Amino acid sequence: MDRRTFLLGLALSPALMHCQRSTPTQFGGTLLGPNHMAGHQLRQADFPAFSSTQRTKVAIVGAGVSGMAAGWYLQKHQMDDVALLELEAEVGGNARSGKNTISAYPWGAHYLPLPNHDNVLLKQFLAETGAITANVDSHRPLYQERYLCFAPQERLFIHGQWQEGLRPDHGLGHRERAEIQAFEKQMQVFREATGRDNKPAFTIPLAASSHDPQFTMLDSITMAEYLHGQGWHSAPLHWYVNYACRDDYGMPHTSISAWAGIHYFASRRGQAANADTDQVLTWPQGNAWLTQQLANPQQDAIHTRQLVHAIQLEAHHVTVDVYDLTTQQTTRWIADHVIYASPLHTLPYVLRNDPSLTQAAQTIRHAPWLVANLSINQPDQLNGNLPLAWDNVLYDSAGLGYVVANHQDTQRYHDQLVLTYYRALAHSDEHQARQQLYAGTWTSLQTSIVQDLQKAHPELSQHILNMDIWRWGHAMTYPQPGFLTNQARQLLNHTHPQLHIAHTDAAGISIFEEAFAQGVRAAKNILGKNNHSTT
Amino acid sequence: MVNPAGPSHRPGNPDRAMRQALFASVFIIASCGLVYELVAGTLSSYLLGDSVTQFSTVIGVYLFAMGAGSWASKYITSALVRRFIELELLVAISGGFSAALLFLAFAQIGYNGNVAFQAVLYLLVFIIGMLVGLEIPLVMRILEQSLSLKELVSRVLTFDYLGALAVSLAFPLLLVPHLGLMRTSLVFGLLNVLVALWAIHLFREQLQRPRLLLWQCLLVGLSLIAGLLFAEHLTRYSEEMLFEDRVIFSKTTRYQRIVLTQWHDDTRLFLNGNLQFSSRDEYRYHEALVHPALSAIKQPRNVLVLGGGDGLALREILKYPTIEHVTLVDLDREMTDIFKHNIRLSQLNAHAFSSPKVSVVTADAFVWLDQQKDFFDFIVVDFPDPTNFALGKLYSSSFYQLVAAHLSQHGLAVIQSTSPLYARQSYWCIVNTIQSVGLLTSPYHTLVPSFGEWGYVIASHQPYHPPQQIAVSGLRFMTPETLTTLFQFPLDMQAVPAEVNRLNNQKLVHYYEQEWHHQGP
Repeated sequence: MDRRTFLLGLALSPALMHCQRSTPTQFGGTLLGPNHMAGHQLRQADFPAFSSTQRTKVAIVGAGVSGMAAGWYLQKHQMDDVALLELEAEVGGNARSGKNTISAYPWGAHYLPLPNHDNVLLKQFLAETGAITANVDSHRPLYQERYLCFAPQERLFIHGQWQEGLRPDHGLGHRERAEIQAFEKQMQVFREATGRDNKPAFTIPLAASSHDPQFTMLDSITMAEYLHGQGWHSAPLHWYVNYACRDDYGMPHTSISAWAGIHYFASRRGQAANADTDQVLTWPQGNAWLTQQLANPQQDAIHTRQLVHAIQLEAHHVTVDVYDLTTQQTTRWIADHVIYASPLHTLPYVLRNDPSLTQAAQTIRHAPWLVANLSINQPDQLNGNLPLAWDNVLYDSAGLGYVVANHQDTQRYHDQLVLTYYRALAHSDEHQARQQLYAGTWTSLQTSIVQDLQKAHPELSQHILNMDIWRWGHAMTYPQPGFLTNQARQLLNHTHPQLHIAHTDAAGISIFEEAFAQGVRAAKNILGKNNHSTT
Repeated sequence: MVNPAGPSHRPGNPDRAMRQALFASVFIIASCGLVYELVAGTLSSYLLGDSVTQFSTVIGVYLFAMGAGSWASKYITSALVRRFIELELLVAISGGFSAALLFLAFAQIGYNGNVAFQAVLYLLVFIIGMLVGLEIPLVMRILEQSLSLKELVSRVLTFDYLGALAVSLAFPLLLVPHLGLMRTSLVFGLLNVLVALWAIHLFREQLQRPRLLLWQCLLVGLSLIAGLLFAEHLTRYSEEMLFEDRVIFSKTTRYQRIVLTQWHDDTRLFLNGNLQFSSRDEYRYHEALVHPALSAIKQPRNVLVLGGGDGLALREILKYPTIEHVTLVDLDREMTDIFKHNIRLSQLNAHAFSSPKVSVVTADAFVWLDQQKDFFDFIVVDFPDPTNFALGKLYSSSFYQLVAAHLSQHGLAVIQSTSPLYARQSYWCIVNTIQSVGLLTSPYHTLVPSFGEWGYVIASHQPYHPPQQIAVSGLRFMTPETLTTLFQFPLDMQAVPAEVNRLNNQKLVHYYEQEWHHQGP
């Protein structure tokens, strides 16, 4: 009698803690993703011949951050004859978002660190949107507090308990702590370092960083190798750095260039009059708020559900053949310039007569991602020993944790919340990871997400009302060792008289600031404001 | 019963029907045993928190006690059936009343006597566990005459496990949601009595003095039924004990647990167990909240109260005849409703909610203010202390920006700002935060005996000057002379450095937690 009672009692105890409100729940949801049919169609090259023509000065392929930043900059400089051609029904690219009765929520990128002082154009853009309210030119601008991430910003579930911040601390041994401190100290050194060319060792956009070999040589090894080379072998430090690589680049630190890994920790120096350097800007819908601000002034130039399927570079112009997914007609746009601001793995199918560029584009690699939005009730059950934070991460987990979409609400109580769950399907083999992602069904993906989160929230499944899941097969490029000097990437960043590439695929790392800088650079090239190409 | 018992007092050979009846008893016994264990575990985690520890230790003690009971069963050598029936009645009493007993014990001992309560808890768990541990060995021995050991173990344990399964499912899904803990244990106590009655019936021909046993059953059964009838009162009584005084109202709303107590002429309001006011000295708090600012405003017309769902600040405000309209914004409809409709409470706020000048808005103050365009001559900000991040938002620079935006050019706002004595840095953090949005501040404080030394801040666009006169009469505390002294801070409450409380740092909640944690009121 005794053993079964014991087992039963233990098995029941989590359920009993909230027995008054536990009812077995079934929840639904949808499996979502970018427009795959269109991609398939692109590979088949199955399109009607063009039935009409249009003229524009600049055709921008893709209304993500890069494409819209290019349009924004062109518009600022009185270049209004622009057509933004977007495949999806909504603009935003990786920064797209959704909305339900509880909250708006992100489907991808969801925050922006405080921009560095020298990132003048980005700060100017933020001032235009009202995100910077005063002193935009000073070292410490005043930010709109509603957009600064509310406290508490982050917590980590480690060794059965929540701790503040993501740097592991709770339950660590003396030596493990010392290693993390030594690492942080070294990153601080890098953050303040300048190369012999007087450029900062690590900065954003990364193209503005120093070319001093004492730093760029770090690009020849992986981030994991760098840590071991420093004599840092402890598991918590490796988890922490690996988490950063998975979170920002979508791949484990064993696949990421040490230069890029350090860049994550050492490139951000942005300050604010009313926030600390490590704080971020965020919105319920994530960076879709920013892309909406980019889109608003150029609404007239944006054409959605437009599939660009052929680009021909002619002597004095470019032709862009665009299939309208709604009318199922092809229109030929004749443009002076084209900005290609779409993921570059599509370029080989589109660009007909530039084999060197298409070849370069084929070398770009992408990490697959999974994003889920969970609507839940009774948010109190998520608290534990620390209250819910904006970013809630689980140590030793397959996922990257979840962000609370309602976190920036000013109201005191929520009956329901939306949690945005992220997982980089980090693998040494991206193709295999992508296949696994596409092989997953809603049920199998949903189950693995719940299992992951149940380590910290045993009762979570009873409180889920709905879970939509988005599969990003080609979520973002990632910086492998050697990416800095990679020939193909340099070629993609080179100015072409008529074709300008603007995408984080060409930048090498996929963050909002790089996307923005890519767009601005392409626009400057067209306006003749760049005297030399940048890499 | 066909087969009569043998001449000895040992139980006879029960026939098939009787065996089935005994197996059914095993099923019930097992369910009851598990229910008492679950009740104790749930109740202790409900009352003491930390459910994993509570459950684990309760189960541990219970199992150990069952082992002790099983071991002790060998000392019961004669009159097995009678002992079994008596045992069932003991289980019925101790198990049936366990939840009620624990509730009352907790109420008597209170939150501060956790150790004493745990002693009662584990003693009770041990007694029930030991009695339950005796049951199955006794049943097996009663049945051993008619069945082989192989059959006996197999059958008895089967029903034992089945009973446990039934309860394990019913407890969280049916029993606790529909009956509550107190009734659940009482009902299962009655089931134990039923088993006893059944055994009396089955063995009536071999039992000596069965009538005595029947009387005992009746007594136990009736007391359990009485317990069921009074379960509601018992719950309330234990709550009253917890709050020392008589609970005249208690309700768990969407946002908080509201409890009102009464002791002679003292009415007290608790929100989530925290004292909000005592009717003996609330006039000090509310006169000090309203009059220093309101008396200094020329011709105040339009007033806003944020929080203050008890209507006591309204009562003071409505004493000014020039006031045309007061808007009160409170999150909790239940609060404003009871303070409007309850006779005693509406007397306390002088029927403020029935005044045609007052309109009540049920809304989140931050969200509501964000969507408003009106200006107000006087704004009262009277929220609970910043004990958590949700409340901390209502003391943030972003919130005070909204207050400033809705305060007329010559208007004044007053903000309840916790104790400058017990939470000194918290108090000055609020002052700094109000200043950070460009408002001028005039900090002051007063003594409210049931709270201690309490702090407020007047915020304004134009410099504030304490009024030479208080424009209304009939006050119990405030005079123009005392008013001017409130703005002097003795050494132990003077300003200390504190950061601005922002939505993105929630400094105030950190200060507050440190200060009230290290230095209780």
